[in-house]
Amino acid sequence: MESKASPSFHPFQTKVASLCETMKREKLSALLLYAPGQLSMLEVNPVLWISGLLPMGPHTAVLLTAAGAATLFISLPWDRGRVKERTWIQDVRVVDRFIEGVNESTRQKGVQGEVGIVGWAFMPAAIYQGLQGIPSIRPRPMDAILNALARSPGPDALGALKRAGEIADAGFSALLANARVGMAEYELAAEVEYAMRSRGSEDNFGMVTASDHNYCTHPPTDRKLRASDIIIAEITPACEGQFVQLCRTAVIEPLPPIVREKFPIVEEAMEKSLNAVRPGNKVGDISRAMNEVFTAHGYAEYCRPPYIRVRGHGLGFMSLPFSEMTDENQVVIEEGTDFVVHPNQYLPESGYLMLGDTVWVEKNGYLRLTQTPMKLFTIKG
Amino acid sequence: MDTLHTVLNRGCSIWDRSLVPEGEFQKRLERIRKGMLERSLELMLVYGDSWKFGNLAYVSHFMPKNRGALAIIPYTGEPALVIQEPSRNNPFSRTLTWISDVVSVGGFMQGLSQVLKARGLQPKRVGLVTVKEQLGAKQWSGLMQGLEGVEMVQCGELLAFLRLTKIPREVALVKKATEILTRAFSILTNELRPQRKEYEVMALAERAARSHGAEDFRFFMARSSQPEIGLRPAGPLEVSQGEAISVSMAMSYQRYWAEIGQTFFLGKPDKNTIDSHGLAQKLFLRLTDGIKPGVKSADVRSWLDEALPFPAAKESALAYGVGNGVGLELVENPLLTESDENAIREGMLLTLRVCLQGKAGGTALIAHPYQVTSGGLKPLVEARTEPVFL
Repeated sequence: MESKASPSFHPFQTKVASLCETMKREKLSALLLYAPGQLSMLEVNPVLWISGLLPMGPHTAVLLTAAGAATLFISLPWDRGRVKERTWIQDVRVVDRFIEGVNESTRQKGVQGEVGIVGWAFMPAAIYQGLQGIPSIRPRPMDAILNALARSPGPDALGALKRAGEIADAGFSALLANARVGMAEYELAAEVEYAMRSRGSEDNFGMVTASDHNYCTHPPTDRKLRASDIIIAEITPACEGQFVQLCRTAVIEPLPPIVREKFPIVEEAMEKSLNAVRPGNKVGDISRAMNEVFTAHGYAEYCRPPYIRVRGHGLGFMSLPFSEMTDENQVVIEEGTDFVVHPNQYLPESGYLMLGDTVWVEKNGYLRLTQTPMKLFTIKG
Repeated sequence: MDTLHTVLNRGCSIWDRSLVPEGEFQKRLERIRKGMLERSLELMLVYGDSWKFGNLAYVSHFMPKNRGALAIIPYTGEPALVIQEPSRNNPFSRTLTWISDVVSVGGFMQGLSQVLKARGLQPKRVGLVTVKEQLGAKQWSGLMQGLEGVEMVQCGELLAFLRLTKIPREVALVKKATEILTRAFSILTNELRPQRKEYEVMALAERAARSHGAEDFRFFMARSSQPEIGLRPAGPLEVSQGEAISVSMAMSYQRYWAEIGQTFFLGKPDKNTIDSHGLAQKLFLRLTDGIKPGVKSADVRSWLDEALPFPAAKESALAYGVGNGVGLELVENPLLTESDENAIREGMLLTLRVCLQGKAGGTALIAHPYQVTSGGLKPLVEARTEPVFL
């Protein structure tokens, strides 16, 4: 097994061993864990997961042989220094032509036969076809490997998750402190972003939207904030590749009576759905708990597309316990996983309202990773 | 220069019709259809994702926020746009494009089938632009099953050619992005100081850009105290007295990108650092003086050999690239490399860049955008090539 003597290999040792077992079981000669330049918060990044490196540039991949020898391919020659610092993998190759690089490396390492591709779904078709053209190997999509191995970020990640939670709280506090009538949505979003990035957030899946009747949340526009605007915020900072999402609603005073009347329904849905977060329950139990509340209040038809699709989701890059929180999801909730629960809801009278938190599943329940109260906020006009 | 992608294009997301009116897209469509006719294409598919959306935005002005979108251009009839997003986002997405037929779906084949069926189209020969190169294998596989028996023709070169030169409206947008970036750089002059964490400095610059309308923002830095590490995202380390720090920033404004790079000296730099920056300046001035219409991209290599006598400096400058087109993408044609066959043409927008970073190469960065005019290069805003002494 190829590794540095450095302790930094330790967190990856178990992953490499699990992958080697999988290769043996599946009769694979190697695995190619691939990431394109585009990053997605809703996916595990296979390269980051196995190497510790957040990829830059068009094509990054780790070739792991059945014997556990790893080669990391990167596409930006000037990024080599950062890569070497970040990863336990010693064999780092800058490849201008990705397919040729993989071809040469598989030949050198004697890799022949089936090679599992992890990250196939997002691998550009041209790259996959290029791999299919390498005579000595037969690529086989194996994205499901990470569905099994990367469900939990591991207990060591809790520190980073808590820091991300604190940063999310700071981001929402900045929204409350800065929102004022006449300010453009994008100016407010810039303040929220600043509050989080200046505290070390590596990225942010963040949307700040304001209207007297929101139909969805989206990135900010140049619309100016007005009195009685309902500001919905979905903010998602990251620390060490771990994302935490916070969804909240704030209204610039005066508070429209209809929002005051309807928001308690969202709060009730949040409370009931969180009660369903415990190991052994199914993901669908949480979703159903939420939908039952809205249905009881007469909003059953608003619990489906085009109004609402999912009731929460896993947060990717380093782990993903499941993709989508829907009534039908039969995945069993496990201790040590984290995901966001959000009864964000479009109601015909008030428009879209948001409330949601990221939870860490514990033995007997859950830990909320943020401290921001789960309530409707008002801002002086 | 490629940078680290972000999970969401989360800045000011608008289409200001006074800056790029619908008529401009109609003109682009006419030119594309001329190319379709020459290639006997009944339909063209143009794909873009949130990381690389240049071709897609050229035809639609749409920029995917976090996944991808597919423009469907029939030879006759109105184009359509298929976006991978929840259907509730559809009204917002419509505000970002001139195309009226916008379909929000989970899978592209579903959207394409819907559009073809609604229009009664059964194309036999379809042109593809950045579909195979960017669309994920899973979605591609679905698309190919739905288009079985259809002849596919790669025609990325058509849009690459059309995008080579820029109209004044495009120049104005890149200039606006450059002005905002320049303002963000001026913040660093006051805020880049010892004991400040890298990400604190980055956040200040980012706020300056986003609060003035940046649609997306990138920040990289390289430090003389870490010569073996190149430009990278800001981290938790503190900045120290006596360092040279190269900062590269890029942002987009209503789809159009700009990039600026500059080096800051915190205190009195050593002689090697000053010499390194002097070399970078020499090459940069050679580039700005020498590039004019008719010059071949490949010619630039010889200037690099002349200006940089040390192999390490040369290797660094080549690794980062000494220049490329800029517009709907941060890096687009022409690429100022030996292998690029494009000749420089009036109307191009170029980012010129000299980045030296390494144990032997020093720490120096100069990058600015220029417009190619008949007489040579014109900076979009005043281009600073001297280091900033703090």
